[in-house]
Amino acid sequence: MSDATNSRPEKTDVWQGTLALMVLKTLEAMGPLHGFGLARRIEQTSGHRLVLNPGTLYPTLLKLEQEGSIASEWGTSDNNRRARFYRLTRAGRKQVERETRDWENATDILSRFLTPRRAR
Amino acid sequence: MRPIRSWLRRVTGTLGGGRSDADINGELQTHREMLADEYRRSGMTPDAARQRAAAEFGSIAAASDACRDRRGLPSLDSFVRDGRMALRSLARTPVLSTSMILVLGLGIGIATAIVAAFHAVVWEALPVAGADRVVELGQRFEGEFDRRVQGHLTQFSYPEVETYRQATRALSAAAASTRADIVWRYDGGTRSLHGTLVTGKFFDVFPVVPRAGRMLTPGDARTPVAVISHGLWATAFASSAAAIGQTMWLDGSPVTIVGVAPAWLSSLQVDQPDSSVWLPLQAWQSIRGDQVPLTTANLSWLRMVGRLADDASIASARSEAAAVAALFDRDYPGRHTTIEINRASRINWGGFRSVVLTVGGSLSVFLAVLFLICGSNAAALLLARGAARQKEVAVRLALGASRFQIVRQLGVEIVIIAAASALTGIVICIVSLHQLASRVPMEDVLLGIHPDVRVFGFAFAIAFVVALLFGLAPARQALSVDCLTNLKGEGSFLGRSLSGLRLRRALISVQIAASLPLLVVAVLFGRGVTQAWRSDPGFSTKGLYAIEPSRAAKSGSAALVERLHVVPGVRAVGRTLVAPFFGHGSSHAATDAGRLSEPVHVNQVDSGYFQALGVPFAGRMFLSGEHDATVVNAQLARRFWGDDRSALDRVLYVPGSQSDAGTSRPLRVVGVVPALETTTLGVSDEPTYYLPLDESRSSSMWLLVRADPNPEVKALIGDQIRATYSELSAGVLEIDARRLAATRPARVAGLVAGAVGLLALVVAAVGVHGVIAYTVANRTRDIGIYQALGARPGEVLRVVVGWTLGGVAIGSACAVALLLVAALTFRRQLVPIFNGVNPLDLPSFAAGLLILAAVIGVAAFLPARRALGMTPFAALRRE
Repeated sequence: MSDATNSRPEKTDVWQGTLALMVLKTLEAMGPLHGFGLARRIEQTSGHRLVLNPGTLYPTLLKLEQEGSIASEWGTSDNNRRARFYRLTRAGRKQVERETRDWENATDILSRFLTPRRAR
Repeated sequence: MRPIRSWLRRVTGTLGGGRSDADINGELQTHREMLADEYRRSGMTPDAARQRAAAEFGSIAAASDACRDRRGLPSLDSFVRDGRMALRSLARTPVLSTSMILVLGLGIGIATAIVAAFHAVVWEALPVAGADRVVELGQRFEGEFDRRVQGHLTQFSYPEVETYRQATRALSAAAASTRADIVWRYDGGTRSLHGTLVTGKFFDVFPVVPRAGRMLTPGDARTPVAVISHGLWATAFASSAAAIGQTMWLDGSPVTIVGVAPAWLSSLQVDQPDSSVWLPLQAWQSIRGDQVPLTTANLSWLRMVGRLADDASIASARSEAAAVAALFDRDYPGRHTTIEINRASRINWGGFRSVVLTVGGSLSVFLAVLFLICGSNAAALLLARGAARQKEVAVRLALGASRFQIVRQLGVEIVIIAAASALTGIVICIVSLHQLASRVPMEDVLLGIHPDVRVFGFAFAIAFVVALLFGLAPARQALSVDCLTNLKGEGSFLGRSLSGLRLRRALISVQIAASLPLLVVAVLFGRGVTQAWRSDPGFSTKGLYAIEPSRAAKSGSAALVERLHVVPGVRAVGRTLVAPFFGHGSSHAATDAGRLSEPVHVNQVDSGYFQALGVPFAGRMFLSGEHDATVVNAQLARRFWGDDRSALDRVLYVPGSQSDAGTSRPLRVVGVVPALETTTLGVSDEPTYYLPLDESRSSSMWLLVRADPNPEVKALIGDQIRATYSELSAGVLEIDARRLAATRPARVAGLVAGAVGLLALVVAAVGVHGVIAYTVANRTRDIGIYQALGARPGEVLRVVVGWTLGGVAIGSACAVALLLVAALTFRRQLVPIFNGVNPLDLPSFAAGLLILAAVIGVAAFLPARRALGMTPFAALRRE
C-alpha cells in the first residue's frame, strides 16, 4: 500500500513528506530524542503553529526507521521514564542533505511563481 | 533501494517481524504520560493533568492502529487474516471443499498432461545439436494428379529427394528416411526388427554421437552395413564391444554392424515403432533386389528432412524448393505442388504446420469443454456453499463488514481452492503421464517431462483463470445478500433465493450440454465399431493371408505363386499393388476424353485377385497384358453411368502412363465388381478402377492367398515362402487381424469420449444432487406449508425438482441442437470416422439421452425422496 492510506487529513496541517524532513532535521540538530521530545521540539520550532498528532508522528517514525534513515532503542528519559530514543543513521544524514536540497529547490521554484517580480 | 527495503520490512512486519504491538503501545503510553507530566509540572493536579493529557492525546488505540498499518502492509495483513478465515471455513465443509478441489484438480491435471505431452512431442525441438535448424519437408498436390503412395501423400520419391537436396542451397544437408520391417536370422531363431532406412546425409542432418563404433555416412550408400540400437545391443549382444564388426543376417543377406546408436535415437519419431537398426537406403534396396523405387519419381514413400545452412532461413529454403517443385510440375500438367518446410518435431506431419494447428485446435476445444464442465461444477458447488452461508454473510454485514471485504474474503477462498487444485492437478498430471508412458510408444518423451516452471506455471495459470471465471457468480451472489431478511431467518423463503437457483440451474445446463455430446459420440463410436465388425466388407477376411511386397519381390515370385497353388488348403492366389486395409492408390477418371475431373481410387491386380477375395463378378476379368481393359467397382459404375449393369463395355478415360503424362487414355470396362470395404471398415470404397498388373513393377506387389482358415495352412504357406527364398522367415499377415486393428483408433476414441462423457455426467449428477438436496433443506418450511394446504406428492415434487430438471432439459436440448448442427454440417467427413454410422443415428442419440436420464434420475431421486417422506408437521416444526 502506498502512503496515501496513512495521509488521511489530520487535525495538523503537517504534510506527510514535510513531517519526515522536519523529524530528520530536528534529530540532526538535537541528537537522539524520544517521540514526545521530538514532537515538542517540532512544535516549538514551528512557533507553535503546528500541532503534532501522535497518530501522525509515530507512523512517520516507523516509516523512517523502515527506510533505514533513523534507528531507535529503549532508554531512560530525563524524568526517569522508559522511552524509545530515535537517532539519525548515516543513511539518514545523507537523506537530510538530499531532501533539504530538494526542498530548497522546490520552494525556490514555487516562490518564483508566488512572487513573480523576483523572477528573472 | 530505500522503497524496497522499506517494503521488505513491512512484509516481515506483517508476518510478525519488527516491533511488537506491546512495544508500540508502550511507546504511545510513554508519550501520554510525558504529556501528563508536563501538565503536572505546570501546576495541575495529577488527575486533571492525566485527563487533559488523555484528551489532547486522543485514542491510544487509534494511534496504535495507524502505527500497525504502517508497520505491516495493511492489504497483506488482511489477506493473511482472510486466508486463515478461508481455511477455517473450507475445513468446516470438508466434503464440499475436497470435491471442488478434486473436480478442478482433475481438469487441470488432465489438461496440463495433454498440453505438456503435445508440447514435448510437437513443439519441443528434437534432442540433437542445433535442433532449431533441422527442418522437415512436405508436399501437397493440387489439381489433377496420379501418384502412388506408400505412406503419406506428403512424402517424397527418391529422385525428388535427390533433386531437392542438390538444388536447395538453403539446406546445407538433406536426407530421407523410411521405415522397413526386417527379419533377422540368428543361430537358433529369427526375429522381426523395425528398421529405418536412411540416405547418406541423414546423420549430418541429425548429428548423433554413437554409443559405440560409428554412425552411417554418405560413403556407406553401397555397402551392406548397419547401425544397431542401444536396446538391441544390450539385449542381443550383451552390450559387448565385440558386436562392432559382427555380421547380421537381415532378410537373408549378410550385413556388417558398424556402430551402436544412443538410446534416445530409437524413439526419435513417436508416431513410429522404435527403430532397432539403421541401414543405408540404397544398399538395402539392392539387397532386396528392388531398385525400382529408387528410380520412380511419382511415388510418395520417403520422409525428407534437412538442415538449414547458417545464412539461410526457412523462408529462403521454401522459395528455393518452390522453384524446384514448379520444374517437377512441368512433367505433370494439371498438377500443382506446394512445398512446405517447417521445423522438425517428433511427429511426421509431412512438414505441414496446418496439421499441427488442426490437432492443436481440436485439443483446445476438448480442453475448453473439460474446463467448462469442471469449472461450472465447482461454481455450482461454490454457489450451493454460498447460499448456505448467506446468514453468516448477513451477520458480518450487520457487524459492519463492507461488501468489498465480504467479496475479498470469498476471493481469498477461491485463491486457496485454485492453488490447492493446481497442486492436485500437477500430481494428477505426473501420474497420468507415467500411466500413459507405459502404454504408448513414446515412453522416454513422456517420462522426460518434468514438472518444471512451465508445467507449474501452466497449471497455476489455468487454475486461477478458471477459478476466477467461475468464482465471479458466487461473488455476485454474496454481494446481493439482503441483510435483514437473512437475519430474520427468511433467507430462502418462497423464491427469495431464486436468482441463485437460476444461476445454478444454468450451470447444470452447461454441464449437461457439455457431457451429452460426449456420450452420444461415444455411443456413435461404439456402434460404428460393432457395426463395422459385423458388417460384410464384401469378402470373407477369414482365411485370407497377405504376403508383403518385400518378401514377394524376389525373382522367384512367380515360382512362389506356383508353389502356393499346390499347398493343400490354398484355394486361390492373387497379386495386387495394394492389399485390403493396407492403403489405396489415388487417381482421376472421366467418361469424356476432354477432362479428368473426378478423383477416384485405382489399384493394379492380376486375374487371381478377385478369386482370392472371393468376389462375384459381372462381365469378365481382363486378361494379362490386355492393357486397354479395366474392371470397375459398383461405386464407379454408379457414379459415371447410373447403375452397375450399364457400365459394361463403356469407355473410361484415365491419366496416361508416366511416359506420356498429361494425356488421358481410354479403357474399356469389361467387368464390374460389387462394392467392397477395403479401405475403411464399414464404409464402401470410393469409386475404384482396376488395371492389369504392370509386370515391370512386380517388385512392389502383394501376394493375396485364400486358404482354409486354420493355423496349419498358414504354417504351410510360411514354409513355401522359406523354401522359395531359402533365407526368409515367413511374413504371412492375416487380413482378419488387420481388419481388427483397423477398428482400433475408433475403439480408443470411443473409449476416451465415453470415459470423459461419463465423468462429466457424474460430475453433473453430483451438481444436480447438491442443488436438489439444498433446495429440500432450505425449503422445508415451504414444503410443509404446501403439504398442510393439501398439495399432492406430485406438486411437492414439482416444487423441489422442477427447477433443476428444467435446467437438465434445457442443457439436453442445447446438446441435441449442437449435435444436429455438427452432424449435418460435417456429415460427409464424420461417416468414415464413425465407421459408416450416420452421425444422425437416432438410436445413438436415444442411448445417450437414456444414460443421461438414468444418472440424473438417480441423482434427483435420492434427495427428492426425503422431501416426499416428510410430514407437514415435521416440516413446519423444523427451523
